[in-house]
Amino acid sequence: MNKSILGRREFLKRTGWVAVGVTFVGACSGPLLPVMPFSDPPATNEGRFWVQLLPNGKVRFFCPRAEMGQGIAIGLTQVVAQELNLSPDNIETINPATSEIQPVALTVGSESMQAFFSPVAYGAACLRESLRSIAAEQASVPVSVLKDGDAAFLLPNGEEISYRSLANGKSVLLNENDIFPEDIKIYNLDSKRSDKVKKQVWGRKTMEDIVTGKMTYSRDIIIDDMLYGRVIKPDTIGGKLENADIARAQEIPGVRKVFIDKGRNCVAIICDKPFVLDKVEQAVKVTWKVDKPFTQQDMDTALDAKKYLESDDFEHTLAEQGKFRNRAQKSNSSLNNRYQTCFVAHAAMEPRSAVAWVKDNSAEVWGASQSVHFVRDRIAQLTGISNDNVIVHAHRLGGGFGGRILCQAAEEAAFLSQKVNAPVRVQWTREEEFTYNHVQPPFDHIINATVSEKGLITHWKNSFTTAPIIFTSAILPRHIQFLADLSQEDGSPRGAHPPYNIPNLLIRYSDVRIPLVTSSWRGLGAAPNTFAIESMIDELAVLSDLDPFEFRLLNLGNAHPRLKKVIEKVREMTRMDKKLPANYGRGIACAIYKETPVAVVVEVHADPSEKTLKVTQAWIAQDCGRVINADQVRAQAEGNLVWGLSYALKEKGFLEDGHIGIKNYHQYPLARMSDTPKIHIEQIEDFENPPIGAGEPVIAPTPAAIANAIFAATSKRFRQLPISEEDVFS
Amino acid sequence: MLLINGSTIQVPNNVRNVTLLNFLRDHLGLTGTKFGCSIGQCGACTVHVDGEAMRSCQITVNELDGEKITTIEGLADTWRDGKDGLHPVQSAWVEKMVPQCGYCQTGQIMSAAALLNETQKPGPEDINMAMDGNICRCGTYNRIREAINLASKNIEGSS
Ligand code: FES
Ligand code: FES
Repeated sequence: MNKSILGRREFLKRTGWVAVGVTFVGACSGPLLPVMPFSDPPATNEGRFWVQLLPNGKVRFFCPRAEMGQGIAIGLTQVVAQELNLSPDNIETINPATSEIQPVALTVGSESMQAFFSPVAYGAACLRESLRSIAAEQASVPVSVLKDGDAAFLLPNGEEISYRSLANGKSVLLNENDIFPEDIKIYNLDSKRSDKVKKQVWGRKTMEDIVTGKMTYSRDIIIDDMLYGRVIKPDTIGGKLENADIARAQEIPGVRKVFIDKGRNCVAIICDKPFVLDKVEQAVKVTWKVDKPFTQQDMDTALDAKKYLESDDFEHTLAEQGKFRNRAQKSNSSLNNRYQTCFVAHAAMEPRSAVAWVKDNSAEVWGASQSVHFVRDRIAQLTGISNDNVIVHAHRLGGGFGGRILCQAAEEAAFLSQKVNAPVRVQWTREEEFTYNHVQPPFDHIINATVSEKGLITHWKNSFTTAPIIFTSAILPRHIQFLADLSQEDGSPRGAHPPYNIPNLLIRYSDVRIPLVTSSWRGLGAAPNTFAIESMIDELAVLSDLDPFEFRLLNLGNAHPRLKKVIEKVREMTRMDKKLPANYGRGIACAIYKETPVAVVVEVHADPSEKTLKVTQAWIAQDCGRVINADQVRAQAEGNLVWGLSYALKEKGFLEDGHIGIKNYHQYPLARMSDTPKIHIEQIEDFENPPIGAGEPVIAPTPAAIANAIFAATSKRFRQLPISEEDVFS
Repeated sequence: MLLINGSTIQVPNNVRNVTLLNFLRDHLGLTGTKFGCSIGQCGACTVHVDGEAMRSCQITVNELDGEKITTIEGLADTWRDGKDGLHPVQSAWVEKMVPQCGYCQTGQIMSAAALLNETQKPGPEDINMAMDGNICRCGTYNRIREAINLASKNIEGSS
């Protein structure tokens, strides 16, 4: 359905706004509603419009998910192929432009397989049955006698009617009015059929394009006669443009236009060639004014969980059960610990980029985002062109994972293009990418927990602070933020509810809006929240003198059998009783990420003579239901393990001079080849369980598993991330 | 004048001070070599200069006068005149399904191919040394390692 024709109420519902009572916002000044990413999961029958038989007999799949390395295009292609009896050569998967498919939910939260499996399978099955009808008509036989062949149907005498002959030089697309039964046969649900598809290699063509440099990312787009732009933005958070001297810059050969835009709070540069952009930028002298720079200390104070706990004042209560208030705080079997993480950057390998061409009544943008329709709507609002007349072409993203929902480069390019009536390319530098993209907020947890003599957790009180993730200031204009702040979002508290069976539970938190723009990062709140929970669990196991596996299983009781299974699996994989050499230690942590249970064991070697800390091995057991492409699921587990390691041991965001202090990778170390351990992975698979997320779960328990392993190796407990070698050996 | 992927390329005066990376991407339209950081920290821009890995963001075109440069687009041609379509390192990368987002991978491949030019059978430490300059945010390092080992085996087997 086209969003532009939805009524306001329906629009609000679809963008998740009814929940925050935004309908009362009428009295506010400014644009009534911010443009929000579309977030409704697709209806099953929407899948009919994502497949097409091409004149050459191949099937085109308009993949409704953005591909940023999570391998979803490969998995969903397989789902289509299975329904239509296709081999990899007979299907082409494209990243559709906004004009080619209706708006779909933005690509986030590892929900692509879970939410899109059914519509994609259903749509492809509908195309298959339509083709069968055409074949039956052509051959004058009843539909029921036609058996499936390879990209073809078979007549009872064995003769083949190929898809190619059915296409007969034309395209076959399903029509809005075509009616199909809901219970159409879905081949993907037939375990016997799936083996054939699984035996083939999927995604080879994509891999070949990548390894030969042919794959086009948004940075690689070349449009005839394009100009090259850059927008100079405040050097401090909240900085206001006071004055700018552009005279010298304007004189540099190759400059098309340099101008000051006080309204947009920037100085903009447009050049004929890209090579002079740096020089022109350096020649522009801007003075920014900020009343009071936002400092690291301001942020620490704003997010100090202790302060909130002392005043017993939290914005949100995530869980409250049993007796908690009015009990003695201290007992021998209680712990009261604080766990903290700092803000961290996306640091995706491709700094964002786009080309925009804004004409009088239409605009075209070539870029990449986790939601091209969202970019389309933002550009429409920015340029005043109706969103039906804005086309955004999608490209593969060079990483993203929450960091590329907004495409600020596309907005800047559109703004500049409108000024000069020509296509303009804007490529963010690495410095811009670090400075102006949003970050994962810091988290500050104070957990108070008690265990009984038998090792059962009786009380768990977690009070934490962080900043908004989903209701981010990156999208919400100021006049609407306070409304969002009243309601609880799903980002910051993700994973903050421990899976264990705890009779007395109180979890409260505040997501405090700070001037630093915070938003989604891989796993949202799951990694920092799980770090706090699973570190505390480890400490409680030690306090109870119980084996960490046993302690977890005991406290899960009858809850979450699938989580128990992965814990047992990972224990079996690691054979924990094996004696480790001196200075080696292993730690376990587990989590249910959204619905996916996962357990990770990490082994570290903390060498006191060399003063080096190394993660030597990791074991992962995960249950993401029915697996479509086992190799891609493994790849996600491997990648998340490395990312989680990077987060635990390397990544440290900091503020300096009123802004993010990181300019480039030399100030923001990431995990590299020599940091990467051997990784062992097992999937628990039950074909009967529908597919659930696999793109993020492993990131959640990894940092805690590492901290727990360091404790096992050194007897030192680290409750703050990142943990550096200096800390370990100090 | 430069020799890029076997072709002689004249360098107009106004771009002589441009980095090799920008020259490749924005002057020649060879976009397989990627921009990641511009300060020599990420390896996304790796190319070969006389068979050795070089960060193309760290060197200007006029410093390379007369040099033989290979980019990802020309890598396969350095192997048996491109008859196989892919260099063994590229084939190994496909075989092991290394790329996730893929953005860093052309740089990774160029670093790996240079390593194998120098050391036919690299040990784990050789791989760490040669590859630590290439960041992969998606965390594909283990598959990169496996692919290098596979390529090394295949090159040995084919010689
Ligand atoms: S772009 Fe050259 S090393 Fe990063
Ligand atoms: S594959 Fe994404 S950065 Fe390496």
